[in-house]
Amino acid sequence: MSTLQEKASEEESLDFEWGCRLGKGGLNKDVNFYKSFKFDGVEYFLNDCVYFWREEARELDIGKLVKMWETASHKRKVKTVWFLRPNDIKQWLGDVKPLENEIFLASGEGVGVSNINPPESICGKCKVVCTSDDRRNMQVSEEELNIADHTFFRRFDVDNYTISDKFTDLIAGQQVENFFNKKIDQKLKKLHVKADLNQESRKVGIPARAVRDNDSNSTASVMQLEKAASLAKKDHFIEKNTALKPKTIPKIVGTDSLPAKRKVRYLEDLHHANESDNSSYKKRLPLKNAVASGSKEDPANSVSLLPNLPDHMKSLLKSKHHYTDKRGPYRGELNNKEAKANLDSRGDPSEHQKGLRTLCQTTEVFRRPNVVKESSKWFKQKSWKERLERAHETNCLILLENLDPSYTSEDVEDIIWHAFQENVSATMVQHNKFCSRHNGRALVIFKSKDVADSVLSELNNRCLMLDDHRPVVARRRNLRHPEDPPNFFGHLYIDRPKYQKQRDAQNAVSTSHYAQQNTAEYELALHWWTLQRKSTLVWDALHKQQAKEMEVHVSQLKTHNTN
Amino acid sequence: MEPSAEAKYAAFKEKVKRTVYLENLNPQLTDAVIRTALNQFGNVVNIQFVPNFGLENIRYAALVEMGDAKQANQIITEIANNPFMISGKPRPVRAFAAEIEMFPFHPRKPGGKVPWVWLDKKDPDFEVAQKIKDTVLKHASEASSLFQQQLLEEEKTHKRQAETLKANYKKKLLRHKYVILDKGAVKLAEHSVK
Repeated sequence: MSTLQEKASEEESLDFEWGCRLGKGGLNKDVNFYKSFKFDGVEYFLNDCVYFWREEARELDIGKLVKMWETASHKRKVKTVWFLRPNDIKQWLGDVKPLENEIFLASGEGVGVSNINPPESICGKCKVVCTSDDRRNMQVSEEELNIADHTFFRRFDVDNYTISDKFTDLIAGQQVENFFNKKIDQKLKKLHVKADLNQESRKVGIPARAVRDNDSNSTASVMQLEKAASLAKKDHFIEKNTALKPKTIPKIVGTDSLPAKRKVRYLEDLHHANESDNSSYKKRLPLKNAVASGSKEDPANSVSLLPNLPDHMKSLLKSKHHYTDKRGPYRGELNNKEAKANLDSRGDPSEHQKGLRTLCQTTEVFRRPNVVKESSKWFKQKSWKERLERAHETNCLILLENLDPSYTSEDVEDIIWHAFQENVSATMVQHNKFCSRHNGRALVIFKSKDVADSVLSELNNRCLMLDDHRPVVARRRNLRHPEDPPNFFGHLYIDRPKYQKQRDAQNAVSTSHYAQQNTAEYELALHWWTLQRKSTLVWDALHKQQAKEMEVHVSQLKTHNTN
Repeated sequence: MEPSAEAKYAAFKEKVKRTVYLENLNPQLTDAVIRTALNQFGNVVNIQFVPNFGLENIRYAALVEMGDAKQANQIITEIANNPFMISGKPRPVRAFAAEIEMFPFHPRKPGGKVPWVWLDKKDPDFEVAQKIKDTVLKHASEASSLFQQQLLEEEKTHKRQAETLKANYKKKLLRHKYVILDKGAVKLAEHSVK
């Protein structure tokens, strides 16, 4: 891309022509800002959505042109705010299922929201329509939805890696209204005159259509205004943002004060632009670092705090920089280094503290009670294992199944009390990933074997129905001796010869880490990992099937009840 | 005085949101190791190991409570996408969002009364209830057999990997012995020069 830029500067008339000038730079008088430019036969305006070409990418990037200017040295630049494709952020999508043609608006303060690029990397216009319910967004018609290339109604925050459908006021320094579907400036509503309305509707020549009015409190005139606004907007879309657009806006302007106001807004933007964009490279780096170090305070906000994130993931985050000159990737790296330094300094003292805490509590086996109330339960729990063992030996132990999983141990004890007038101790078996979510289990310790037997026989001969659809299932289970460690597979050890062991023992640190791609461990880890994924799927399928079977039965129950 | 049941429940639910269910842990892992491991993601508040009462279908697991829900979610997404090892290789751990039933001693759901009734044989629902009971038992055995099968697969993988590893290591040792220690490479080089 840089070679193209050189060529462009050599041949001034390489299919490129600036359009209407917006103004001069505030600080640097030699910089000119523009409202549009013509490149390769297509005219691009401010706030247009365009496609960008990037060397390694498979798909074209989509961005919105928010600023365009030419520097003193005749270098042309455009600032774009990016729309992210679902593929770009599939790491962080989580449960979110993107719609077809849906893209996400990048927002936030970090890397990846916007870039400054040469306009020569633009390859065409793109129609992006906002379908958000935000009150500042004009809703679009079905037609427009159909002809739009992409839609968006959510934004991706590059600081938190979250997706949200709430829009803040500013995105990359731009008013968020610029990203929503174009409607006429809010200020116009006050100044709008009916005569202009008629003029507008005549000009557009489209019959007025009912528009979904976001602002139900508005007066009738404003409603009409919005109608006109939507008509005008439709006009814009259908005309594909051609030269007609900038002309219609000035015409609608009622008074003189308005253009002044708009100009002020632009100049403010320009001022910002000058501070951040047109200053020297050195100036910009400290600014970025200030932002970076500020956000690094909270570890959750920083991407680089992740332990040894594989390089290809990091490069995804840096990838947006490829348009800009070499300064881009460098900036990203600086953030990483800074973050690592912060992590090291922060991590050590807290770890030290925590180490101390565990030392003080060596008498307690596994648990660290948080709440005083829990501690009494905890003591009960500590002896649970012994109690269970004893109960198992004396055959006082019964396993109850098909309970509602949200029961607590106390609930179970109460149920037994109500049903059998017996005082028992119960504990709900904690769920793990292999239990069905619909089936709760509890271990109940009775006072004696006889009691246990009688309860067992009662429950099996008759039927204790809980919640109208849960007959309690009771049986004796053979408990494996809890001390037997379950066979744990997957940890491999190498018997090293003695001399090596000594040396390695000094250097080796068995830390917790992500498997790096270049190690032999990675392949092995991947095998396990795929096995795990498979097992998750298998278990989910089993649970689904089981749930279905239960439903069939339960529905039969219900039909009986209604009869 | 004591917070109401609803408040307790709500507070507990909030805690659940912040907690990560970590599975496939090495049985020898201690509290401290897990803490160090997850400290890289944020602030670890509490670690509770899931007790093994000797029933089947149990894996060694822990409930780790983080400082806030964002950190917990981060852990879950990260571990879902990249294999993460805690002090042991090469089997990665699994992380899931905790559910309230995973906790021991969770507070009662406020306002829930458990309706219960004894059904007699004459009751029309009795048969259906029996069927349900049978289904429950069937499901339990299905689950345990699936679990056994999974264990078998894991054992197979483990054995296979161990063998490969041993073979590779032997090769490396051989190489080390002959080429480096005995200066085999040097000798070869001298020989070829001659």
